[in-house]
Amino acid sequence: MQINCRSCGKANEFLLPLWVRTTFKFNDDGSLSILHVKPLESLEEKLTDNHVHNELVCKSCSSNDVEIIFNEYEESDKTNRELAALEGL
Amino acid sequence: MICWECFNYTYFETDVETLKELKTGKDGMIIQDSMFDDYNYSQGMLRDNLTDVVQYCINQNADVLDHNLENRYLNCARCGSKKVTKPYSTWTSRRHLPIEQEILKNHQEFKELRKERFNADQLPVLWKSK
Repeated sequence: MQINCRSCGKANEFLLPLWVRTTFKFNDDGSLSILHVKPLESLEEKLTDNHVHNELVCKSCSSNDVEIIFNEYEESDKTNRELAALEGL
Repeated sequence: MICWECFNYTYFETDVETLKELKTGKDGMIIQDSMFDDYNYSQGMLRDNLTDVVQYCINQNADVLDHNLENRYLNCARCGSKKVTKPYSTWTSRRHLPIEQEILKNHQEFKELRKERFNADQLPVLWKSK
């Protein structure tokens, strides 16, 4: 899997918002302490969802114009298959 | 805050948004907290959003309740009920005067405040240059 930023061309660091359920308690001084955090969304499912394109942003330039390539070897596989087919002929 | 089902006033739950960082490389994809220099932005955002939600619920009180008197943001972590509100109301019919009466009562103080502002550039001179 590969993610590319079309704006700055970098392909290594991206930010994605996720909803979590937080269990917390009120301390005696009025501050809050976090007891437990449970993810409400699966990051893998969110990535494969088409709507994630608007939410996924590049960490370097904050652009959300990103391209997700699920199988970056697909193109070379296709070329190899075509070469094999030509050789077979 | 208090739960009207089990009267718990300590443990609650809420949904907040946080941020995760995806790092892609030759070894695959790594999901981790987002760091800016040595500041953990993911954890900071989680804490800030949690504080925001709780403060909003405390400040708005009745406005965060739906038509069933259930809190739209918080629920009790003990019994799961959404009937969570502030344990008391700050409003009382005896605490405050009507605004007209309050203004009349504080009229002299207000006049002094305005006078003070009007004469701000005419303060007494404490020393004089020779």
